[in-house]
Amino acid sequence: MLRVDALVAGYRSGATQRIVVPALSTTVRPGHLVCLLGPNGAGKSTLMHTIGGSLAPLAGRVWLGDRDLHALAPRARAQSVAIVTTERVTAPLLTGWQLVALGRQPHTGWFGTLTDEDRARVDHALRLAAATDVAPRPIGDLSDGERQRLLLARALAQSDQLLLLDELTAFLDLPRRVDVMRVLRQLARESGCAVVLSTHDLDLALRTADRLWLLPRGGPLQVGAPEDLVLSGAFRDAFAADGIEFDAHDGAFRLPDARVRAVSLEGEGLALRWTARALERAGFRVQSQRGDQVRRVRVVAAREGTRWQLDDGAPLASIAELIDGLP
Amino acid sequence: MTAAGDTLRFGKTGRARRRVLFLALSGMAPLAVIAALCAGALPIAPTQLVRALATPMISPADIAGDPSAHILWALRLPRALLAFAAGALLALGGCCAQGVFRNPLADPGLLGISSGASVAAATAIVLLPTSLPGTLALLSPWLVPGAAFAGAMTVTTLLFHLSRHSERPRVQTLLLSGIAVNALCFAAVGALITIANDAQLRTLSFWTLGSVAGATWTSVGILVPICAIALVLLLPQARALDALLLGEREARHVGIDVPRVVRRCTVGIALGVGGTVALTGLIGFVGLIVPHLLRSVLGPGHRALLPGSVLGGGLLLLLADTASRTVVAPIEVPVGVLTATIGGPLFLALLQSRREQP
Repeated sequence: MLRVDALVAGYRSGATQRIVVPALSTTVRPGHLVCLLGPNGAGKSTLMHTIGGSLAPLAGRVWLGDRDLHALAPRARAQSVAIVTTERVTAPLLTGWQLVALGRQPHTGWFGTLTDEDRARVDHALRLAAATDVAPRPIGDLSDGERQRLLLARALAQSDQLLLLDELTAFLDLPRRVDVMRVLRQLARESGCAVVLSTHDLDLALRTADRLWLLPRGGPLQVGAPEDLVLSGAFRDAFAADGIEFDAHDGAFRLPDARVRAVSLEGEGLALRWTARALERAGFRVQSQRGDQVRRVRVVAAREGTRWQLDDGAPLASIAELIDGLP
Repeated sequence: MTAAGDTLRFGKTGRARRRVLFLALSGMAPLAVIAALCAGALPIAPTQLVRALATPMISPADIAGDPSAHILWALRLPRALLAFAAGALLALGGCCAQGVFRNPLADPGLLGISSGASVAAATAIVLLPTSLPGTLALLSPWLVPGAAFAGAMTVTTLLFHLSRHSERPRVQTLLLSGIAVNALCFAAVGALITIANDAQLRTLSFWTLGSVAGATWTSVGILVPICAIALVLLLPQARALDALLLGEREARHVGIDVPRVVRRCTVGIALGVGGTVALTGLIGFVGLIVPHLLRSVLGPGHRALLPGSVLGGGLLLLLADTASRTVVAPIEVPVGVLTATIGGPLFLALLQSRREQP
């Protein structure tokens, strides 16, 4: 179990301190997948590095089981904590397999000789991260997404207690992102490993994470099950300052537009729902009440099929015509 | 074919290739030693070699009367050992410098580590007495190597601090620092030459070219322990140097104590390069050529590269020295001239290939 105890993360230069994340106490249970969400510059990376032990905290402690992570020797710490950062790594001639094998370094002996078990762990990690196909290639030739899969494999090969993954899914395509989240959750459940993943993928985090850590800019970290944070409004508040609107009814995020005009919409059935979608996409706010300054759209079921009527104009045959007719 | 099979195959080819190369290198080393012992102004037939080598054991008195035994024991054997040890230390130092500076063009000569050692050694020759008084006399052969080590250590530490400021040390910054250090050292040696006497001048001039011709059992006796310490310090750093390929931060994440690795490498490189320079003068490019050739065959893993550099560097300098004293015999080309002739163009080719990369 990971226990963060009154941790203050930030930077110290000389006598001055710059606090990035104020006092934070929380725990992560073994087998839990935690998603760390927050706007750019809120201090997600700083927090990850501080928890991982590569950055000294300004105050507080981080316990993994009964061991103080910051008091451990680098090698002992690396045996139980694996970090993947946003840093773009490359080295000439180094192959994917060798990159992943670096994750076994803290477990090897004096000369760093890999045993058969180490090799098996590397191969297994490559399979889990769906990176086996890129393993024989030099990492300099790989795409960002392929390299991220290798870095995930390295973390999996390194530790089965705590994985700290900083924006791991940033360069992955959507199917791969969903797949990585699925793998991480399954891995956490099966091996009892705690995973903390910082991401900008709000939707996916909301669906997958066991716990969310919400880090608003400058604000204290909020911790809870995703649904609790939605119901308490914490989720909405955390992103409101950044101009992202969260709709708790359909669990969707929107970018509010100051120039938005309202449209009243009447009708029923499937056609009504898709018309509402089209109008939102075109930048209108859809409401059901009619108003003075509000254009009126009606979805009408006619004999020859669905028709759309804008104000009192002639019936239109498609949504496209309706949208084009709206200025 | 399964993807897992691919990985396995990939791992096996790598290991097989490594094994073949090591077998080849370790097979060639004794052959090169035999060649070095047999070839020369007075050729010794390989069949006579065993008898000449055994002479001191059978009848020590005969050494003076048997020219081949004398040449073998007084000249060729220490020279071969010195050449092998010097080449091994230079290549190992180069390989570690490339790893710890994360710079493929790092070479003790180009970076000025050798020059630093030579300035300190020259200072010791000109300013310190040749032999120490009283019971300290035993230590006098160590004066110049000790000074050379201090000089190499100073330059290596300085370079490391200069290159540390960015997370990704720039190739250019390091090489330019090397140019500055080299120029400074050149000026210092020049100043020392103006105040040196004739005997000191002769000794000094030997540095600029680099040669193992002055090998004696004393110099072998100095270099062997240095070699042993450097190997013990540097060979276990392979794992850390592998992790450093991806940068200091990434190395820390896989549990490497970076400052400790840097300290050990600095001392190891300075010991090896300093000791070599004190005994052989400036022999350039061995530390650049050998790791580069090996890297193209073995890949970037240091667990194979470091021991490979020891064998390859020793072999290269031994062969180069044998060639330097036999190809245009009776004239002896200093071996430093030979390595620079091979290494200079290779260095330019490397620079060119790096420029073509995006």
